Amino acid sequence: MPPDLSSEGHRIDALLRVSLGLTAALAAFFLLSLAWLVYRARKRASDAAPSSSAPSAYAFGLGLAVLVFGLIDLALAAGSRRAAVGPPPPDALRVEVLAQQWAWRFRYAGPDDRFGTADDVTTLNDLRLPVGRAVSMQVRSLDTSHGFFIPMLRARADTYPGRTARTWFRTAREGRGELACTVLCGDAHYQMRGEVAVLSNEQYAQWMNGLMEDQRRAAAAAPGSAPAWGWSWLP
Amino acid sequence: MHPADRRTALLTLLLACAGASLGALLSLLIRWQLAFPGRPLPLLGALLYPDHHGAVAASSYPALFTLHGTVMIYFAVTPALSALGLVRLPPMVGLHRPAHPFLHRAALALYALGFSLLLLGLLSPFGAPAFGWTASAPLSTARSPGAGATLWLLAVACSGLGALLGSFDILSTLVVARKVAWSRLPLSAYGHLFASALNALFLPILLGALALLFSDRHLGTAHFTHPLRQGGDPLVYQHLFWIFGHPEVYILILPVWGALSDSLARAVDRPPALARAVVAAMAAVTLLSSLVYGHHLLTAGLSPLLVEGFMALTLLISLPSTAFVASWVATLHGASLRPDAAASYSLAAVAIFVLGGLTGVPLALVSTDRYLHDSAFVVGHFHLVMAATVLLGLLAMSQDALPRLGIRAPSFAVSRAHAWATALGALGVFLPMLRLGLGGAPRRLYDPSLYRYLSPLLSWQRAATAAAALLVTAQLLWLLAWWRGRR
Ligand SMILES: [Cu+2]
Repeated sequence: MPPDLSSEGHRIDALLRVSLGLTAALAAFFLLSLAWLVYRARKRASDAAPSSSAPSAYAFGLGLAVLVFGLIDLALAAGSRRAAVGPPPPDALRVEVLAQQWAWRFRYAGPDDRFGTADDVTTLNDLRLPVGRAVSMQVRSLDTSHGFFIPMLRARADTYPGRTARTWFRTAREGRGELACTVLCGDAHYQMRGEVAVLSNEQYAQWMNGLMEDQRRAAAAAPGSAPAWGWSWLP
Repeated sequence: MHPADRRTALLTLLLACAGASLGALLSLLIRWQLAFPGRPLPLLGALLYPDHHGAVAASSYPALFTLHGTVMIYFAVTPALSALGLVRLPPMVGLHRPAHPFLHRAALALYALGFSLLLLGLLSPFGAPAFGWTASAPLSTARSPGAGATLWLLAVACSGLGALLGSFDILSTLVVARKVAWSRLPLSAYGHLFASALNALFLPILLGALALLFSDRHLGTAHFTHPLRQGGDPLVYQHLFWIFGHPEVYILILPVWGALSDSLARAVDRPPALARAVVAAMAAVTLLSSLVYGHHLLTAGLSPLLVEGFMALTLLISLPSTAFVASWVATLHGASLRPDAAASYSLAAVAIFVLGGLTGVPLALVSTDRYLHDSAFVVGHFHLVMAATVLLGLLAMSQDALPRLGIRAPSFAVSRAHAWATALGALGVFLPMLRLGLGGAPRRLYDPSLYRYLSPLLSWQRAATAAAALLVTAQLLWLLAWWRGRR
């Protein structure tokens, strides 16, 4: 798995390791037993030895296997619930994402902390986040379905036209990652790639101030040119 | 066998072989592009992509996997199972002919018509359909102009209708015309019974969903467009499709399960162990298969209660599946095995099926699916089951079916080599896909090398591609086995 920049992702990774470990152990046990049984059964045929069977033992074995697998299922389901993230905290940094063929647009609320106002900050295919912060995202699509996926933050939100998908995570480490679209959305689906960076708080503030400055200048030069796709944040 | 049924079965199998060959060729094109992005295709490049220096064009890549999935499911496995049912089932229930042979003839005509329409679509002005075999709306409606996509809809509808008619024949043969008591039917017959019941229940939902797609494309409706702008909802299509799409998996695997049990039992010359538990497990899986489709939508933002319910139901499938595995193990236990070709294919299929089934567990868990959804891991998982296990199962079934059609029995030595080459080749293709998915590789990407985090995984792509070439080449052994077969 790629490096994890989030603080909750390790729970997913741990559950993945446990479930894959169990899968591998059960598969290895079964394949070895199968090989052994086939070896014995072929030897019996060549020795012309009588075959034997023990129907009641098989029924018992089946019952035991069902019980064991049932317990494994229960444990894994419980593990999945424990690894679930729940609702985002109220102080999370909020980012709106608009997916379209074939790009990602990001919208930060700006100084007034409200979306759809003149001081919103928007970027294209470029998501930067401060370290140590909960980040809550709402994702919408302009045209067809897209899959918002940041592997390094273990974050995913599949979006359907007319609906708002949500995901949230907490950044834990500085680093760079990538954003991919995981739902087929047309010929250039594979180019729907975004840059993701988790920055120190100083770097993030500097980047954000620079963007706001650029945007103020652009607005003064050509009023009304700011992209107008935001929505008021859904509770 | 009645000459008319024989003709129907032979032609249906030939069509399935044509479909499988085309599907295999498409998979090689896909694999080449993933392993060597943008490099000219060997042999075929100049012919297929003259304007693109012989390399797979980005704009044609989605069409490649759309056609691969469509052809393999609707025009290879579906007709093959239909034909093998027609050949193998009547003798199991004490009959010479199925109850309504004309239904299988009509099915053949529909498969052939559908396959032709699909191929015709490749020649259409806006090119081949390129929305994946699931045809998610609105990508498959408003965003796919041209006749190719419409012809795809009609082609799949033909295959679905054909399979529906075939399943009516199987159901009437088994339920009404049967001359053998339920308790004496082989497990293969139960496999066909439950699969046909699922066909009869869920194919109409596919046909309905396709009709709504057609109406959105051509009659100006907006069932699956945008809830706020036009009132329709793309998520409704996802529900409709997967209500059919998940049972479809079991439609294809249930007859295989039955055949694996029967051919192992035949090779040890005694009845399958735990046979009643297996029938009960088939019934349980059939029921559960209609209740778990939501695991295809675990990341679609459904309510948490619904999502966890679908997770629990999906995990429950592991329990009846345990019964199949326990039965295979118990059948072999203490037995003396004289393997024939069918048993070789069955043993290989059983080994791969267990791997494939177990890799479904991390996908069923909501929390790990959050990471693995729509990744190469999913592709590896379902190909282990739907491609490798089903292919080996079909080969096992064909061992007694083809001689009944007048084709000489195959050479055992070559068949055994073919079985193991196929199994190892399949592992070589699909295990690397699991690894790629764990590395975060999304499926359906034309050029993964554009992503920094995926570039270290390129060697896994190449390993899968090399194995795919071997897997396809190994199928020549199948022809050799029949050719070398004794009269
Ligand atoms: Cu996209």
